[in-house]
Amino acid sequence: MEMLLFFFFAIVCVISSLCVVFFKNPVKSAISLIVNFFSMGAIYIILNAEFIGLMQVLVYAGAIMVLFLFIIMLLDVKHTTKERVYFKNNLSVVLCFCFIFLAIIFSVATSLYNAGLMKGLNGLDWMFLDNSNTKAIGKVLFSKYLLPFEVTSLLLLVAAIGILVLGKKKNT
Amino acid sequence: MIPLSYLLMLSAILFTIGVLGVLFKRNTIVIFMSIELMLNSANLSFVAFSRYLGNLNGQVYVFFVMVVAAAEVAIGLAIIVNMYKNFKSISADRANLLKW
Repeated sequence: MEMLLFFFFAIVCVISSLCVVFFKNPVKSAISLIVNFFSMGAIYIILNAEFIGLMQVLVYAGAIMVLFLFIIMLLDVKHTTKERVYFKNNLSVVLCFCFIFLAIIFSVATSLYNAGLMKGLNGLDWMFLDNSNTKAIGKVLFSKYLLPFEVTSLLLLVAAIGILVLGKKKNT
Repeated sequence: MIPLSYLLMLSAILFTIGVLGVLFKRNTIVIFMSIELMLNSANLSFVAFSRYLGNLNGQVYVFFVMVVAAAEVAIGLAIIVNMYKNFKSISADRANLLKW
């Protein structure tokens, strides 16, 4: 059952991310990206990471994609549908895909092998120790990672100020 | 239990599709969406490792990655709006001032 659900959502993930890249209309790309985020959240929930799955849906599909759609709505993007010349050449895309994919797989496999993680990885049921994943994450986040958490707020402040500066009308 | 290799394979596929989008697309907004895809695939491998090592730290890192992604998208879209004001287009090929 778990495997079946995983394969279903994995296939939805891959197809929708291909749609993001290959659709010409950016609105369609954004919609398929939302589908991708939802199925990714489902995979997180299958992996017993409920908090991350919910954050995925709330933050990515809720906030970030609304921002994307707003910008697409505000800007007139009809004139930029022409693709690069080599994008029309299917062979170069497939070759590029194979090369990057094999490079990633090779590097990950070698590093896993060197770390001795190739075998003996059996998931522990630590998620049920605290009887909720969110509670466990909260405990780790507010004890061990307290300083990075506070620095995160600084990062968001810097981002907000940066947007104000960038969006300000220049009246010089 | 899903094998770890399947999850890493899915993550690698999604990352590669994101790289292809950044390499081949011209529309800056779609390039940003591809960057989001890549961040998401990295998140997926974080969660997978955290599940299989029995360690919560990976999920906390995913939280931080999400915060950074939100900030990055906001700043990037502001830059795109400025670029549209200057060029009247959001094609990545128009931003060639620094090109050699």
